[in-house]
Amino acid sequence: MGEHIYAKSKKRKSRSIYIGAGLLMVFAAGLAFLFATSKSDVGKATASLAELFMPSDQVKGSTEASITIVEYSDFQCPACAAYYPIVKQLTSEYGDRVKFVYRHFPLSQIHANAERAAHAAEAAGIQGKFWEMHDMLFENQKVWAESSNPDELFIGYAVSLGIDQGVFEKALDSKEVKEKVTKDYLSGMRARINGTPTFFLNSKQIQNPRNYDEFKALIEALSGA
Amino acid sequence: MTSLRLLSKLFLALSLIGFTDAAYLTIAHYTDAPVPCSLVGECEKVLMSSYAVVGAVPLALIGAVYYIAVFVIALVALAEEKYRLLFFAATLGLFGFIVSLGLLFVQIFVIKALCFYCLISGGISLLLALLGTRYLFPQLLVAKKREWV
Repeated sequence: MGEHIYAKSKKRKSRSIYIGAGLLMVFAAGLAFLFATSKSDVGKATASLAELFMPSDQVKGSTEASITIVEYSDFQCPACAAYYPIVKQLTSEYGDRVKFVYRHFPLSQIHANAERAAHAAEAAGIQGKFWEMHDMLFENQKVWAESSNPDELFIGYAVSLGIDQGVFEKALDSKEVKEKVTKDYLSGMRARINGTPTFFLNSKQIQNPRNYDEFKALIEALSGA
Repeated sequence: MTSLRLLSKLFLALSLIGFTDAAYLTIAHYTDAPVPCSLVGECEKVLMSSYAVVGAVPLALIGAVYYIAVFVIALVALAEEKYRLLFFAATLGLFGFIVSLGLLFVQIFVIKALCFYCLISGGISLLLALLGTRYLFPQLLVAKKREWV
């Protein structure tokens, strides 16, 4: 009799353990779901880009294209470098059907050479080689990222791209170049960017696609509409 | 026996945290939600890499299933007081730790970027493995020897 009661209470106890654990598991799954989806809502709700056109923009593709992609990026950010091949493939595939704009958003607090790299790209841009320098910087990110003397490397890249060294060096410290980078950064602040890279597709911020095909699908959806 | 009880509770708690972490990454993977890491770490680079998926299955999903397995084993051990089941949980923990170690190696030397969420998971599997080898395996061995005598 006593044993029977003991067995019964043990059963009840183990049942309550199962129920408790089941509830905990549901709670954990719910928490994970909430966290993941609420973040995506934040991404969707962020303000659209007010400054879709800026006369100083660095543009790849056609300015007449009906689809505009604006990227806010940091040459020293590893995620941006990870997106670089995707973006490159997109711009080469779409050619003049898209207008691709690169804007500087150097996170100087964590990336010591990011702003300088932005200056280097713009300085190359003065001689019409912005995109060549852009590619060079992303492809060699690991080389110059932690360098204590990045200018030396940047000048080397410029020379290898056939850029006039004297003009480039002067441009690196010019007011024009610095103002362009600051202007981009401030426009990013106004668009409430909270990380890099951030992409805008026709002035609407998009969640960063995870691969080329997803990015392409987003563009296709727009051009089909 | 109380310490085995405590151990199974620890296994439950750790696997629950690991599950939440892995489930979050899994859901984020399938819903394409942005994982907030571009300012802190470089997890985008890791999560976007070819190492984040096995075929079409994201590693995060495998991780979630792994933590569910540990959780269920620890749960049955606790509820039924069949603590010897914990041996399987601890073995899984050890296995998970070895996999995590491999993934950490890939992050450091191949992708050259660390992912915060993956490190959490690695830390949990380390704890599971430590608990298993330090406390559980010796206890179970002792228990087994006693049975033989």
